[in-house]
Amino acid sequence: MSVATPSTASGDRSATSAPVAQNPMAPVAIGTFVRLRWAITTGTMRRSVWQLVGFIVTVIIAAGCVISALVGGIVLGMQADPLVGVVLRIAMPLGGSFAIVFAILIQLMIVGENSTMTPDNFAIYGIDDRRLTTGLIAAGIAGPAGLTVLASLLLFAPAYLRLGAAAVAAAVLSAFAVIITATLLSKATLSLFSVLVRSQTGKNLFYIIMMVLIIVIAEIPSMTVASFDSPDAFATAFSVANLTAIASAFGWTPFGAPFMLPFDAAAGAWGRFALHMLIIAATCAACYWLTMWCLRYARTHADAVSGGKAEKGIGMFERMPDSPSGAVSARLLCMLRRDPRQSVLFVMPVLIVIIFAVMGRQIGSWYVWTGMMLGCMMFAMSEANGLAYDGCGFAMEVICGTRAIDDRRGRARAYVLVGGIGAFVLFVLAMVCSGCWRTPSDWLLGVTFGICGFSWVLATIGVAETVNPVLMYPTPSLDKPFSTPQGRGAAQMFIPLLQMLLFVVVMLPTVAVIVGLGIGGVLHTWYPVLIPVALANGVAALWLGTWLGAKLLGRRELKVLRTLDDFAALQQ
Amino acid sequence: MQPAPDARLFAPDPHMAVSMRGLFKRFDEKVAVNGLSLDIPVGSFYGLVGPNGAGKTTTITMFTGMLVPDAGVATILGHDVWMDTARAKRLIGLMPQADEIFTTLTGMQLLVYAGMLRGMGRAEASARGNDLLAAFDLTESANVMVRDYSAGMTKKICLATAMIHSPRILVLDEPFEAVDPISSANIKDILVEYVATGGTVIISSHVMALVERMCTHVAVINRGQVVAAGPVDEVAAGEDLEERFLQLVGGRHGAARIAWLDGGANGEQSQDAQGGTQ
Repeated sequence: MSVATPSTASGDRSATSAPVAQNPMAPVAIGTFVRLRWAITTGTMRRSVWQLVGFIVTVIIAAGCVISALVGGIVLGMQADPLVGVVLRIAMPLGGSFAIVFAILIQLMIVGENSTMTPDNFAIYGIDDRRLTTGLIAAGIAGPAGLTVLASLLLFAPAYLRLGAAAVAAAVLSAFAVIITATLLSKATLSLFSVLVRSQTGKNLFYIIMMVLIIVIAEIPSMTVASFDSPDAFATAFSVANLTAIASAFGWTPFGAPFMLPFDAAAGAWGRFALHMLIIAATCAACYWLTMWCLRYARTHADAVSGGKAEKGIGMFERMPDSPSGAVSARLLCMLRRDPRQSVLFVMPVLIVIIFAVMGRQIGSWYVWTGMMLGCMMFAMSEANGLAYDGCGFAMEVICGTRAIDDRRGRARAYVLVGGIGAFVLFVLAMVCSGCWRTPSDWLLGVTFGICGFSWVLATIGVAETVNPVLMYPTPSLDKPFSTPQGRGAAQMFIPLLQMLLFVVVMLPTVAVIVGLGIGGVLHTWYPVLIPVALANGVAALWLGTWLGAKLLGRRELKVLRTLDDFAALQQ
Repeated sequence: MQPAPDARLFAPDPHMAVSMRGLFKRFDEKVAVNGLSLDIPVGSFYGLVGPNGAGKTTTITMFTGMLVPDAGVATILGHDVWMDTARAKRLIGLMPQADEIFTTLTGMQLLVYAGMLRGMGRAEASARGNDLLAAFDLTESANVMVRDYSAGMTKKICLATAMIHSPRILVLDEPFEAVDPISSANIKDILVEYVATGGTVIISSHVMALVERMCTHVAVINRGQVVAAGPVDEVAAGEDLEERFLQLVGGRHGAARIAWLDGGANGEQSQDAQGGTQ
């Protein structure tokens, strides 16, 4: 038996390529990552009209930021008042530090690591760690958000004109330092938490903690202001001397150091300038090293295995009605419990009531009820995009030929249950915090607020059942709740605003009665009439929303399925 | 491009398990299914084969009511899929893909969910769920979340959700992919038994040997049209089915020599060009 050698065997083969190039496997250029990032972003925009609308809104907002920075910079730069320099000296390091910390937390929580530009997606290409890390950081800086911030800071540089040319030059340097430091800090933090929080339970818990932290940090300024007993105490605490000292202290942190450069240059304090530069360089180097270390660690350590979380029996399916809509309710309740993306939204209302209670110490005990009402409005927020959270699993309903009305009833039932319990918890919290349990008339006021809140829950669920087959935006995948699908940011900004507007509009009948009572001067005595009015409003909105939602879903079922397919592709 | 005229474009046969006439579907400029007509007899074990992009999956999604065709008609046991979609879907057991199920439910919950969605009582769905779990060797994992299942286990639970309502027709896309040989043999036994009781199984597969061994009928689909259909022996025409398939769809060419693709035996270490990787 003879075996043909490669040379003889190749005789009848067709060569399909040119001869080997000199260097066919040159290292991947950093620019490739940036181009890839923009190619994905622009590609996503073409996927749907809503993505495009969201993108246009984002561009308008970004342009607004950049133009505002330019105008603000020029106006401030032309001011002869020395107070401008003082305000800048305080505002830039303090505001900048706050913005960077907040941006990192938002990255972790809401925006998360871009799901496409992650090291995992480049794992098979054998790109060396240093190049991969640099490429991903460059892609982060050159993204829409990064470029907007950079352009805004650069165009704000004229604000330092009165401090001298050196300050303006240092402001330009500061702009680049800010964006690089912020990107590296957020990359390193994201990488570190990805490595530290590897089990599913840990991820879920971390997700909720981060959300709580973000809300608390965002509310710190208003809670601080509200905590002062008198205007004098406020003025003392926030004196220029105190604020300058605090700003200086922040200036020595990695978050504030980049913002101090123009002031060091203006003062001719080149020693301080060098020290601040050193902090920036050390932070960047440490973050870069940490990101690379995490990359190596993640590659060499397997993900934590959950060990197969078990639940005996059929759980919620035992407790819901024995019908297709009961199955939908049971499935949804099971998922809400195990889905950190949604369960965190049920923690927020509680937090809001607590924050309002703290702030209400100075404003008045009625303020906590405002928090309770606001909290009630939030229970249906995830349901307003509920089908997107279901993802392709919704296909099972389509496969089984489930009637749209069964789906809507099932979903509404689950949310009425969750929202009802939630509203009751908020009511109890508000009662305790406001002290409305002391007299019968206080009780009546509290119960009126409580019923109105519950009615609002019902109404918002009705709205959610109507809008979720129509207005959808991509969600992070269940496995990666910290990630964000490409193009999600734009849609996520636009659609929830519209949904929240509808959440308010749907209670207009009740609001009209309140206004009518107010104009008639009888609100303080006739307010209990709001109990039946709000209840009727809520129940009617829920019924109408469920019915209308079923009509819409029935017609759009397959279109919804295709959209969910597209969203799933974005999560890859 | 307009739908290709089809000589068999007349009323679908109501006696067939599935009857399709002139199905046409275009995605932007690409015609995925081009006037496809096919009859699948009741009680047959029918294989749909074809190269990638031939239109098999699009055809399945159209006749199961998951995708609206641009033209054409499909009936399930005489019921028009698009006139009476809910009825048609109740007659079918379409196996969902792994990403089309709720993986945060346990295996048992998922089966009960699939049963209850189809209008079955909870008790009946639970009892059938237990039977299916036992049949698919999943009893021990009944209370484990599906997200913790292996690929093969997920495939089996997907298959079970398609069977729980005892449909007249089972539609399975690559049902044996990633399933271990023992489970695969068990599933085959279940399917053969099901066909013997009058059920119809339609599978889409790339594995010719499996189709040849298990199916009574086969349809070869290429470029959105049926190029051959009928009993396996007739389609194979005395040859090995895989060879016959290659003849029918064409596209096979002599092994191409790609100049730069070598195993390194010639001493050229182009792979090292990047250097220092990780």
